[in-house]
Amino acid sequence: MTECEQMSELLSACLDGEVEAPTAKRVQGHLERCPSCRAELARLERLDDVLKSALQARASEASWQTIWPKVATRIGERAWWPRRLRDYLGLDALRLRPAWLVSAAVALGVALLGVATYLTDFRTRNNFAFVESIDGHGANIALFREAETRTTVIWLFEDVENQDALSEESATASPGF
Amino acid sequence: MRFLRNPLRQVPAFSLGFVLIARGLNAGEAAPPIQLRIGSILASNQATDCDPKLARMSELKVFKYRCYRLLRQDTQRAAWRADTTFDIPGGRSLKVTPQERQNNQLSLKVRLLEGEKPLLDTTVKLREGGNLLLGGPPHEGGVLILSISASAQ
Repeated sequence: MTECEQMSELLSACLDGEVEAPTAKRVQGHLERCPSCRAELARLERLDDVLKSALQARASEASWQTIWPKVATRIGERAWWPRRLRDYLGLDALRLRPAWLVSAAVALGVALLGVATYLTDFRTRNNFAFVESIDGHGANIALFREAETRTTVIWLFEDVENQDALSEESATASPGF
Repeated sequence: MRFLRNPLRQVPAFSLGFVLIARGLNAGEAAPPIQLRIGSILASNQATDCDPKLARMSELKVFKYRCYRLLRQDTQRAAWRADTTFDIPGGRSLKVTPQERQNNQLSLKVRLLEGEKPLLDTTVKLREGGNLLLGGPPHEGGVLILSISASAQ
């Protein structure tokens, strides 16, 4: 890259005041020796002037009397309370992101599992005793649930002959089932 | 909070957080010691020496006995998943093994034995303070009714 090409890249920055002093001095030295770069600088200065004058013209045409009240109104408006709370807590970093959706899905799954467990256990959520398994080792068994007193009874007919005799004793003597 | 700015860290971190919270809400209760109470009641139609405190037994339509008498009542503190043995009149015994506690329900394994001979094996779930009646074994001209209740301490 020639020196003129390097200077061409630096000229715009120099016009905008964006270069350090040593660089600006180097550009100045080159411009004193190089007529083509001086011409390029002059061209850039003219272009800059045209742009500035055009923007100033547009800005002067703008109706600030109508814009400013709107800006002032927006400044005066109070932000929605979640926004203010988030600003107060400094939670800007915790904006909604896909990671939250994944986490929320996991949480929803766990919650559904909990509901399923609750519903599974619902049948035992009353005052009745719930018989899960029963083995009479060959004897006859009766299971009775009385709704009025919410009582569960397991009846073991340990001695069938004796139970028969008991039931023959009188109609009211035998168990009710 | 800088740690959580990396999405790759957010997924496991928030998932773990939500799971812990949800698990905490659904947590199974801790298993405190359990107290077992077994009442041995003699039910008969020979109306002698009836226990007036058991008059409410007559409200149970399932039984049609005239007289109920409490023969014995034992209360024992039981360990989880360990046998607790109660002596029952007539040379019988009742072995109760607390299994687990979930949603205020106590799961009990109950075995009724006559000497070494098993008469009945059952697994029941009782609400804390609730009870189960186990009846049928003949005794002194009537039948035995065992009232089994359990409560966590």
